[in-house]
Amino acid sequence: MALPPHIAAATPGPATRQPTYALVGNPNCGKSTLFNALTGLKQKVGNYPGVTVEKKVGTAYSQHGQPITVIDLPGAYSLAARSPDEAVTRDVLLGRRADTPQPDRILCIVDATNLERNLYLVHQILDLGRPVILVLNMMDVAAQAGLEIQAERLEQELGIPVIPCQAVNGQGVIELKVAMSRTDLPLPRHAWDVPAAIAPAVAEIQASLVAHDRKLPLSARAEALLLLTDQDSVRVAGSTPLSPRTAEILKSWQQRWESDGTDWAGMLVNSRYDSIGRIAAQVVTQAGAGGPTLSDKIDAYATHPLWGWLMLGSVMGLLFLSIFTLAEYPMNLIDDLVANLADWVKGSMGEGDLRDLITDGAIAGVGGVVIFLPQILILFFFIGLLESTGYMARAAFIMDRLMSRVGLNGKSFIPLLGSYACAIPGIMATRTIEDHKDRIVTILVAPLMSCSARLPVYLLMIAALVPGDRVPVGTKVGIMLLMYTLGTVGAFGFAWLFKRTLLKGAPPAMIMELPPYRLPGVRDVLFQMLERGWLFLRRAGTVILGISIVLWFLSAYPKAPDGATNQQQLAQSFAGRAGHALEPAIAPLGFDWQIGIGLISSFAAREVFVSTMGVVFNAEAEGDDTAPLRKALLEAKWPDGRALFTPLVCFTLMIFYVFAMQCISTIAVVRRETNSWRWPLFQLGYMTGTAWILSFIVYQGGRALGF
Amino acid sequence: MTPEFQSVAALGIVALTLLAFAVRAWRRRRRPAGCGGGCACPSVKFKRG
Repeated sequence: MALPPHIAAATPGPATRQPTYALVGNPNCGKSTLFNALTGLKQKVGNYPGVTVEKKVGTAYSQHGQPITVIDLPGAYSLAARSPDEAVTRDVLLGRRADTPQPDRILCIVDATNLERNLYLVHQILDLGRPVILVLNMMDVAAQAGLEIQAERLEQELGIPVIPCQAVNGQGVIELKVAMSRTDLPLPRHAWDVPAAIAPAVAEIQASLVAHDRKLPLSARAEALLLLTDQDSVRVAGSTPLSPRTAEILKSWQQRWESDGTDWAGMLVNSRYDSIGRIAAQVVTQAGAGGPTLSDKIDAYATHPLWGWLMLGSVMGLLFLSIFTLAEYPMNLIDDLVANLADWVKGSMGEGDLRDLITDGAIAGVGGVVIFLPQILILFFFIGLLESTGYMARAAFIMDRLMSRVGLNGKSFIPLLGSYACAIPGIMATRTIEDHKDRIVTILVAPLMSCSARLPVYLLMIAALVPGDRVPVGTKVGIMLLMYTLGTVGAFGFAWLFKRTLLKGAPPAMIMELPPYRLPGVRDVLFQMLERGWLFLRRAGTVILGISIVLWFLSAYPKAPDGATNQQQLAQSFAGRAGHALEPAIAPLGFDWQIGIGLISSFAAREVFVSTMGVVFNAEAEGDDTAPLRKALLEAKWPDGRALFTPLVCFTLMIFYVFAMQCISTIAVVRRETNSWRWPLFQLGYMTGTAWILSFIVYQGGRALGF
Repeated sequence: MTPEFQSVAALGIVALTLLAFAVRAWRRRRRPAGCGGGCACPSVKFKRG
């Protein structure tokens, strides 16, 4: 069957451009697994991936070895977008984005265990009039649940190829590639009854979209139907706005219906569901009584008010234990490699600024960050595992009860959890939160969760705070846990406050699907982990490298007279002068100008504080063994001879780092995610203010109590 | 490599780094609202639903 003129025009032949498929589907239907199965390692990921919101483009190969471009679009339940990521799916499919051409063909994947609900999105996509292939995924799970789905019948009903599939083990992928290779894909036979009261409006808006918005007729009809479901309010960067004429027609119809009490959006949705219900009744047969499935039985515990919490606590405990224990060996290995590299450079070059820049600036700076790579990989491996098995949805469900007490919903849990590793992916992951205010609140509090960059600061301060090997390990672990708890309680406390003041709003009811439990797709989990690791390394090799070089310069220039000690050189440097300028503001917290340098430099990355202290106090921290630096810290004194790093100062410094917004990268990401300087500046102000006030209370209170 | 040459080379690297940061910031300013990376960052056009 030849393509109609409007499709053919938009679909150059293989000689000029390879065909482009958009891969779409509901969340948790196995879309990413299918994408990985189709494209393997031939993927290109957008700048900043969140969990399911990034734009991924991959290359699959047809049965004849011809390349086929596949765009993995964010998961969506309907083209009626409720969040920015869903808006991207809608905009790409409707050809509204200037940065992504409208796909030639659409690969629609559905969860066979929940066909009727999944068909809603398919139904909307069929309206587009583009060639569509439907993939019935999780056929094995459906069969276990006693569902029999007649794929051939569905194919006849919709007029498009329907491929049964089990993406997780690759079954059906070859048949799918064969279907994707077809040049004669049929157009959907898609007829459904638009309610008579709405039909004239659809026709008029469609005509206006064609005339004034330069839309193709079929795409215009789909867009008209979408506009009339009153779900077109979410727009994102790159969305093409409606022409004034079309907006005027739409508004006039809406006003007319409002005046005569017509529920036009409800009528359209119901009509669509009637059509879907008829199709589902013909193709799906439920065998047996349909009793509780294995997932239902597990959920009786996993979502139980008591057992659910215990299970979640155990899982989180295991996650943290793994991060701290499994990462130890590779972290030591990286540390040794970095130290050896620095030693080799020192041994190969004569003394001079270039050698210092390479060893004290570039290697120390980048090495100090790269050392956290194992922790990042382990965290994302576990997060991937929890998502892949379906447990993450249960965790969000359980957390919803707690979150609702501070005015958030369970969807904020995953971003906050991710922020334990680094606030940046956590903030990225807020894109899945539909409610704008909830999203902003989550962004504002995410950096309060103690990220892995705070860990070296805590370790150094704990080493100085409780010196000596006779102190039980439990005490050190207890202090560490206290810092993590303070950050978490702070995040929840501020979320509660913001939801009642700045960003007032009723806690939204969370409607989320609990997908059936399944065995994890290890390949997908590893993909995701490596992708994160690569992005982390790329950042370390670019931005952090640059900052380290600049920081080295600031601490090395202007030069002190010959014969000056390292400390005199530092005091004379730009960084030293900045530390002196800051001292009046931090002296009430028990901090001097040298600590001030650390506070300033650690704006680049919190862990830079440790290496800065090493430079400032003329001692090099060697790996995890902070003894030499600890000794130097304990010997440091104020000009009047008082000890600088008393236990109280160490504790105060930890409190400061729990609450302070010491991260330029996070500020930049918040700026980008909120598209405004207002929120990052507010965040910087409230976090730094809180850190200062609490540190002041702790230090002055401690002194009053005689510490 | 003499210390003087090392100083010149080090300062050259610092200058190049600052230049790279400046170019990066300038390029970002030229991009459209949102990050421009096609990753759906909300822009000023983002309307609350």
